[in-house]
Amino acid sequence: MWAYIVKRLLQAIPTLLIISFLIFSLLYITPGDPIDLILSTENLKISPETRAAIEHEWGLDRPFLERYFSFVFNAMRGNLGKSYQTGQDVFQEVMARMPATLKLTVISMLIALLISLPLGMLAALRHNSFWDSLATVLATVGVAMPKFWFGLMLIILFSFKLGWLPSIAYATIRDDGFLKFLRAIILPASSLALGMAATQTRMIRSSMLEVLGQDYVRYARSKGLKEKFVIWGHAFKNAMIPVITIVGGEIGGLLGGAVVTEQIFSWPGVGRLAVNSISKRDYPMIQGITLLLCTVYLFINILVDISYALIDPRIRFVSRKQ
Amino acid sequence: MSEEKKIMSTEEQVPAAAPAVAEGGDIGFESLPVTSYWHDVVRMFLKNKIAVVGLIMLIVIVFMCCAAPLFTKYDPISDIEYYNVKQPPGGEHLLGTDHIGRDVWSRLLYGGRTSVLTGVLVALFAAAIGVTIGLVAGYFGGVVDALLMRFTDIMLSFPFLILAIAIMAALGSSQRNIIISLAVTSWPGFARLTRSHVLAIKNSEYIEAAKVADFSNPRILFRHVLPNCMGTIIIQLTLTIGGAILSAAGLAYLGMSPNVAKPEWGAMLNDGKPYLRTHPYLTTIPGVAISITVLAINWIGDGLRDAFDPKMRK
Repeated sequence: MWAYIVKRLLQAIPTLLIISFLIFSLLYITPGDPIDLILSTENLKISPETRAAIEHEWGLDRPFLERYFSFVFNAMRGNLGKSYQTGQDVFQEVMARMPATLKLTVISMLIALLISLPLGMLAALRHNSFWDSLATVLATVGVAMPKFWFGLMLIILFSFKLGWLPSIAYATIRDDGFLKFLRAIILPASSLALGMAATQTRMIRSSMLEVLGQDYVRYARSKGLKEKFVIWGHAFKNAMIPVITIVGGEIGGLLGGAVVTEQIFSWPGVGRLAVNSISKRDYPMIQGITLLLCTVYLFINILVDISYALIDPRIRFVSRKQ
Repeated sequence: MSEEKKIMSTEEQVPAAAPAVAEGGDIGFESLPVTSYWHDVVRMFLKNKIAVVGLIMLIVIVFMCCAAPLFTKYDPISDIEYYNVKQPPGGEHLLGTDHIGRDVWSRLLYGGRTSVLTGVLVALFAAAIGVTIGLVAGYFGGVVDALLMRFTDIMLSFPFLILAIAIMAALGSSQRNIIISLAVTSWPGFARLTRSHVLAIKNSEYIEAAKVADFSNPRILFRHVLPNCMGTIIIQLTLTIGGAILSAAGLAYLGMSPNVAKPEWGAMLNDGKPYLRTHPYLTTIPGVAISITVLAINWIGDGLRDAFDPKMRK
């Protein structure tokens, strides 16, 4: 097991290197000079000497590969540089925003599970019933709607028409209490959860249906086990295995989707920072955000794979044999 | 590019073959000893009610967008009624007017052209990249396979919307660049699917025969391997079109679309942003259009998935 975890962690390193290289070259070919952009927003003019000095300080005068390698070496020591825009330390600024994004992601995943788990199970257990149709409708419509547009519809309904929830709010559990936090996060998290709830419902339904048709389930029933035990003791655990994979894979989508959702709800997360930094050509900031987001994503995926191995003995067995 | 053309031509074949099967339904295909693969697929597809509904919906939408002048007398760009802005739906303007007095219904129709075309082009380009990579990786195996698939996995592990935004920032905002940035980020699915399919068939006799006949590698890949992966690719293509329409709308909403008068559904959502509280229909209407279109496309995709699945046949 430990060998497996170490192997997965080592595999993440080349992935991060390649991703950072991709982003680095992308920014390198980007037209638009960051110094000009900052100057135009501040309405300032500087002498060529000052410009050369700034370029030197930011390392813009050095060749491409040199810049990339110095970035990698600094990143390994936890130094992602300073923001062109604010002069703040990139690592600190992104990490200060990360909790907001992670909270949004986690809560929306919980909401997605709260909807998809009962609905998917009901649809499978009462195959071809009203619940089954409802699940299918939710799954197809949920995937077809733009997530951010669903968020806007939620704002129109719950904030503007009914006045129940705030459209723009941010609260933390520690400072504002749980209820306020819930009121602030419920709309953005629900809008982000929509797509995931849809795919999960579908997945849980089909996976459960498949498992219910297996011989061991029929055997458990023929043994005279109560239906409750058959479903929760035998079928459920096995049906969840493919679902966990899907949940892991969806996290990347959630982190990406959070970019637009945060924009709509003015949620102070990493996604909003990313959009602002991209429009201002804040190279160190964009680099830092993509690198840290990918690290989070890879880390969560490793966790998912480990939990996968813990739940399914077959996977442990295979990896041991190898 | 050659496989791209093939994809298009096969796609056209599916609806074109439909009437023949409908007529053939009277004599009953079950009584016939041999049916061709594509006929089987079309027959299975037409049996699926939801898929057929999706197909009809899509045909109606595409027809209305292409023949937009038949359904509206307003021009989406030049007919601006400054004295008549933000009129609610109903009355003279079917779906009202937008913030500078343009007819929303006509913008919706003309905008559909851009939005649907964007989705189709993204899917085709993504398929061209992904299928080629998948074919090469699966067919040649070894180091080539390891390298290409590692790269594919890395692309898959990346929150693709952030990459798409970064590419947009690098290239500048235009509809063409939206297509490029989405195509560049949505090919990995194609690569994986194609590769797994190639692995399954590359040791079959007819591939061996082609090798013995000393056909060139590209010829074997595109003439013998590719046609056998077509089913999987068409399904993925359909679902990618839907996804690309959604992502393009997201990028446009973030302000990544060029700020020109040319109508596009995502840009219409962006235009309606400041009036969300006062004139919500400016946001609701384009979103409904996107949802219905993507829903229809996804239903078709699901129907194709079942139709291509040999387990579902007979």
